[in-house]
Amino acid sequence: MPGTRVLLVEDDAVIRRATELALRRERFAVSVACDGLEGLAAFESGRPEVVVLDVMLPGLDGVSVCRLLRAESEVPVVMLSARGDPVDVVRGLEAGADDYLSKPFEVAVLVARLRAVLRRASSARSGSSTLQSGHLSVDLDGAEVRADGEVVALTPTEYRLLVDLLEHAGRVRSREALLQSVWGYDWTGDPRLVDVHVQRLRAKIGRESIETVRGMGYKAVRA
Amino acid sequence: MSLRWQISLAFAIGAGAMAAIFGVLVYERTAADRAAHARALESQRAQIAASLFASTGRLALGASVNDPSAPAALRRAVDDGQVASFLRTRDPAVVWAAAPLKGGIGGIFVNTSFAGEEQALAALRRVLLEIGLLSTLVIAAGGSMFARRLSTRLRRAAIVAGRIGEQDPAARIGMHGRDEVAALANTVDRMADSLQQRVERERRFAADVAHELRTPVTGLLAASALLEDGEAAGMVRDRARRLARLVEDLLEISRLEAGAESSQLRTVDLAALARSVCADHPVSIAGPGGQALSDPRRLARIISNLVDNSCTHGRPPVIVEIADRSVRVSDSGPGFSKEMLAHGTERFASASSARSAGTGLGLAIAAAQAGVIGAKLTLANNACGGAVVTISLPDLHKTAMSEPWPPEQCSPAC
Repeated sequence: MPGTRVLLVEDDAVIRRATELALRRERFAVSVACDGLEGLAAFESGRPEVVVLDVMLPGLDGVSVCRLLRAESEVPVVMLSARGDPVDVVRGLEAGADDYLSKPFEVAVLVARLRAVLRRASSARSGSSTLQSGHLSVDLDGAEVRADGEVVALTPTEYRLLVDLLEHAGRVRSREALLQSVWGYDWTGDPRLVDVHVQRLRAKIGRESIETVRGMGYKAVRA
Repeated sequence: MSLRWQISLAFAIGAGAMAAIFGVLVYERTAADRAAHARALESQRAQIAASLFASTGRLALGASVNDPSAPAALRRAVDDGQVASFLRTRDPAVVWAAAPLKGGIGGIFVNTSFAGEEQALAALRRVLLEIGLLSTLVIAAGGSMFARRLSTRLRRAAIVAGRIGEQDPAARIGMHGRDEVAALANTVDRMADSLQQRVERERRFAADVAHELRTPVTGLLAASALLEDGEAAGMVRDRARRLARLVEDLLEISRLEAGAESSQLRTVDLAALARSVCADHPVSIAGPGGQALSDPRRLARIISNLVDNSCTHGRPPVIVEIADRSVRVSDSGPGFSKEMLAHGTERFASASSARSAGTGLGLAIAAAQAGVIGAKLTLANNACGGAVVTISLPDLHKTAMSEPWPPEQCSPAC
């Protein structure tokens, strides 16, 4: 995908510059910011298609930036966690991040994660063009979800997760299966990605739509 | 001999000796008094009988003149003109006395049985012996009780000190009191505190170093990826990658050792997990397969580390054997050294020459991850000399199902 606009918010000059150059090589159109406020401003002016956000930023930290971005946009966000601290990761995901990478990471891995996130955003579906389940209806062509007729704004990852669960309605989907089909991870995927995204989905479309099957995974309730 | 018995015995010996000395003194004194009293009484009787005999010519008070059955010593004393007495303590016990006759040879002899007195003294001996034995027993029992308290406290201190040294560095004796045992216990506690603090500081230091290295290493990794391909660039990239791996491993083991990790249990198909982990390795998967309730991600991490280890240090074929609640990774290399068998799961246990390909933390991480999921890691060498590492998973099915689930998973609706 040539020219995909990426916003990279990172305070360390070497990581920022090297990652910027590496992403340019991969033909991303990269804009950079070195702190949270600058990142927000760059988002307003550049309208990137994907944001790479460091958790530890001077001033306004990555988690707060992510929350502010989510308030007005469903843009995919990949967090860079400097700590690998479980609490940090969960806070980032709860603030609305789609995925995260722990430092130190390889640029090739970051590129793979970005492509996976962008694929979710642009995934076109074939076959039946609407999914209907209880009070939910999903227009697969327009990637639009309605609950009781009201449009629900979902991030691409939340949308893909919901579609996956609805396509397998009534059947249990293990966290591992969801990590593979939605995020594109092998066994290295973090199951908390699924847990936090399911929580966020439930908050948007209603708790009762997705059941937890303990020790197994999640299940969309068959209407 | 335990301290308790030593103290009880010392109490018993002390009490016994006291009772013996006291008993002997009391008895000797009493016996001497009684004998002196009887002899004085008998002497008086002999004198009265002698003066009655002198004035009336009659023998009174059972006296006799120059009794031939009288003891020879008494007869000699009377011959010397003295009033004398004599005590025979047995066969039969009798007290004799004699008074000289005025102007004649020999004297007046009287005697009385001393058997009654001897019986009384025998009774006294018995009583003293009984009192001695009883007081010895009572004092020994008291000593034993006192010693039990002491030895219980000491034993408790010893057990806790052992636990501190082995598996529970946070254990403390916590003994109150002002005696030496409490002082010893408190000293051990303080020592454990300072040891724990030191260990904690070292652990934190390793974690801090790794944490501080993260940002520069990330930068290095990103920058090295930009280099034009070439031999030098390859070397830099390779080393940067290895440095990054080391930092990640150090952070992981620091987190594990901090004990803040918890496991997310699911039913895991062990063979399927092993297949997905080993997809990129030349490894064959064998065994009947099996299922276990465990944390798939941690288990995958352990298997991955073990397989990495076998592929790097061992020789093919590397075999992953799956059975019910156990996974065994073996290779056909030279196996573990004696040192590795003993300390292989400690950080940087392998000799630095053998580490050229890894970070030296793989087995330590595997063991620490195993600890989080309650599994056990066993290092061994097989019959052909190859290294064998066995992961034994606990049977969590019974216990886990009866425990409440974490709130997030407690009901289907939440």
